[in-house]
Amino acid sequence: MAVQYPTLPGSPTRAHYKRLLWRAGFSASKAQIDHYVSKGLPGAVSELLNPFTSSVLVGPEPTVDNRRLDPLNEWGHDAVWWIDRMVRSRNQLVERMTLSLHDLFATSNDGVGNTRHMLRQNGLLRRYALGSFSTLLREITHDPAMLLWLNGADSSKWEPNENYAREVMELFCLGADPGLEAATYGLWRASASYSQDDIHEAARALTGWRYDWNKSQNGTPAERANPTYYSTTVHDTGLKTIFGQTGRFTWEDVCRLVVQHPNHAPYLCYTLWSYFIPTPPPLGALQMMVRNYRSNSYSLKTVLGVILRHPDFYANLDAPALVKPPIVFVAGGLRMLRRYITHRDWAWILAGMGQQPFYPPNVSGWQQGPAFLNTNTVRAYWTAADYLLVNTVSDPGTQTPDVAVSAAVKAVASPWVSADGRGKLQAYAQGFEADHAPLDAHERLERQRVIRGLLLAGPDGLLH
Amino acid sequence: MNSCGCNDWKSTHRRAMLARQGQRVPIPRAVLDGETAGISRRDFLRNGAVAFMTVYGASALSWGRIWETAAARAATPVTDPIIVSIFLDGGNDGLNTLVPVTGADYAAYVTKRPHIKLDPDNCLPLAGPVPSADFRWHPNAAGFKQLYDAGKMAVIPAVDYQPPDLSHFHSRAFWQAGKLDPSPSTGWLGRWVDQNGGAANPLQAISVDWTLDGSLKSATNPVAVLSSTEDAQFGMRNVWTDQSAMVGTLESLTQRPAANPAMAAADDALGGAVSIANRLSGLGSSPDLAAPYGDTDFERRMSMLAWLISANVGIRVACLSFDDGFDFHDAQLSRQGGIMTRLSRGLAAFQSDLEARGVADRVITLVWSEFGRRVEDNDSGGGGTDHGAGGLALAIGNGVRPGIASEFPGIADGDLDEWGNLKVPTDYRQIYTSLLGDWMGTDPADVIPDAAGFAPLPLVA
Repeated sequence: MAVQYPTLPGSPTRAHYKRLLWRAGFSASKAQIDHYVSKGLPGAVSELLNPFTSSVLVGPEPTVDNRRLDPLNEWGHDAVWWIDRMVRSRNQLVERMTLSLHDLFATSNDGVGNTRHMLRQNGLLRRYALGSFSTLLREITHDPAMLLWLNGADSSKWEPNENYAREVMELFCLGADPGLEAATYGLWRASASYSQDDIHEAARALTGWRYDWNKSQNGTPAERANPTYYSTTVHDTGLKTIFGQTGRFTWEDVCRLVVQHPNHAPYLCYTLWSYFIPTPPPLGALQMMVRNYRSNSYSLKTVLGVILRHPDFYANLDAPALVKPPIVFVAGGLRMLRRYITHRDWAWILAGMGQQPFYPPNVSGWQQGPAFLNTNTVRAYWTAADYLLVNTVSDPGTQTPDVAVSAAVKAVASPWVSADGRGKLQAYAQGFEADHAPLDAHERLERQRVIRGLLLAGPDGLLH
Repeated sequence: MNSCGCNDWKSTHRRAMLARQGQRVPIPRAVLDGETAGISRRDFLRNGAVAFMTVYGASALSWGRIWETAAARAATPVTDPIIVSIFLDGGNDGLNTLVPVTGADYAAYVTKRPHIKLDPDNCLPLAGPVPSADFRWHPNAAGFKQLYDAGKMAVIPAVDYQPPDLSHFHSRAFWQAGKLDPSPSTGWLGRWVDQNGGAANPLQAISVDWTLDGSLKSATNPVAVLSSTEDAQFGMRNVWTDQSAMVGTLESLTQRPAANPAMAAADDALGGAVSIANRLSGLGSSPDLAAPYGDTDFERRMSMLAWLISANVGIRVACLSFDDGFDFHDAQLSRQGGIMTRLSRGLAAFQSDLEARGVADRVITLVWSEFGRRVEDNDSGGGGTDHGAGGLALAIGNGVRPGIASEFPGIADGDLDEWGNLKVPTDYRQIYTSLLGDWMGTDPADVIPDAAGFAPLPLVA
């Protein structure tokens, strides 16, 4: 069916393109902005929503200690394997959405204990990042990482385990916070919400999936990648009543009933919007997303098309109000400095920042937005900036304080900095000169490094 | 690899060595002689300073800052009561932590838990000043037995809210908020800090963790997250000529009117982090008092907290989350077994650490989880339990009234709710009103909505 989209701003500035590249991806270099300006804003949005199918990754292969990555066997290689994709992929929105879906379907290798399965799930999220959510839900319901993570593989008709049934409703698809009713203008209704009975009945319907531990260790490569299978003997064939409907439901029916539930579309569209825009969707935008989504076979692309074109996406270009998640800060920082993966230190740095890929804190994912920032994590953002700048600064030669600031801004791809912040950096550059003149080679380098570090990990650098 | 021709990673500039070594700097005479601000040398030394302090990145620290730290420590009263809150994330199984071992409850326990029942003969009796024959501790919970038998523990055996909704995220939010609000803007301890804390010291309310515990979310006064004191300072490679200019600029960048909540969060977090770095810079490292901690991160954080409390940096409320999760849907016996060893050992070591440092009379430690587990077990991974109601909470310290502090509703068939869960005789907010009123000496109504409806429990001696 036809989709409806908001109208993009008519005369966009470079700040519009910068906003688009930062929030629909991981930072904006001058060359990327130039490329998008040449396409125009509608063309840029269209390129993001229609991913390349070949030559997706551009740039040098990632290495650790000059060797190829070995994510299955080496600690931290899984994290930098994915960061590398964010840095090198031409499909920036796909990677950004893959990250959002990792947060929505939060699965931790702490519970799964199998990196092969984590990477497989990551591929699944990437494949459907702009695709059909209903197909993704079916796939992830029997994904080996998910079956281990939420006990689907342990559940049987004799002992149904409620873990996946509960979270597929509460967190993945339907939501449970009564505040959603007001936030969605009543499109999501508390009175339509699921009950503990629905969870229990869905848990019965979901029984049948098993995990072959022997094959997971000793099977063929395909069996090791996915040692799950369906067993009719452990499936509960009895009648179940879910959301008021009764039948001999299976896992496929649960997936169908959940996406057809009246609260699903408003919950999912509201949630997706929040990954890109810090203010809640207005009624018109929410209705447009819900309508596009329902009338186009649960297509995520038709929802993202509304978000990337909506005026709220381009609001407050002079005062960004979305916190950079730690992973976005690191991958974006590497792109700003035109650097690639050469070590695995990013894994522990990201853990300290509060967002280690493949290790969300629990099944509800990472608390987003300002919750990423506390006195401990911002100190780790600072460490990340320090690592980003390694080997990127040399003696700049003699510079006036003003030139020192503008050169530093340019060297880190002209990130957003407030007028107040820029003034304070100027004051630093002047004060440093006054206190230490004449500056020697080290002092000139130190001043550059400090200004670049403050641009990256000062308060303005944490926002996009 | 080195396209710009530089290598600031391995600089050999002559001043690099100085900055790396951590200069030992004598305390200025003005401090030792107590010539200003009413601080005496005796105060300064008594509060934990030694004759020399190791100051990392000494160029960043003006004497004014060191002075300020010392003065702040000496000026802060040292008798203020403290609440430490320990969160067991995931819903600990109270019934296999504190096992009912008598009568109809024990019979039901054996029947309903074929996969994960514990043998009472291996479990640890509750002795000491207030013995109880009705329960025994998990066999690995030697630290709990030690604390209970010493008369330093109050047990709240079935605590939750009505009606229990079995969601991790709602239940945790309710406990942290101190009210039944699934998306609270403040936590109960955060509101206490807003009422009773100050505007200047983020360390007054501290998550000794990587993320902020929701209980500590405040509206006005600053709070802190600190996972390691050693990592608190703001250094940067190749910056040694004027680190203080860098840190000062960083701080000034945070001092502006914020245009939106995200900007305010960035400014508050970075400004707070710089303030903490300044406050901690003069403390040196913790004297080793050889408390019997094990080698886990939880115990490292507990020991750091005990030291910070004794170093008197102004802590009034602190939160920690245990290292591992408690969501025992499967393989519960092995998972919970290891946890019980480490958790109970860490809590017992923390108590003895506080005693060795002479601050144990100031601290009550509350241990809680967002709910209990289903009474009937399942067979997942050899035996597990689904979400239930009526969890177990513990209050620990010299100041608690020891014993079983509230009702256990029983687990025989007629005693359970329609879902086979424990009934809920005690609301979690009754713990809060007890601690806020009887321990902190403040009005619970300032913090807990409808506080009068949550009668305090006999937790505080």
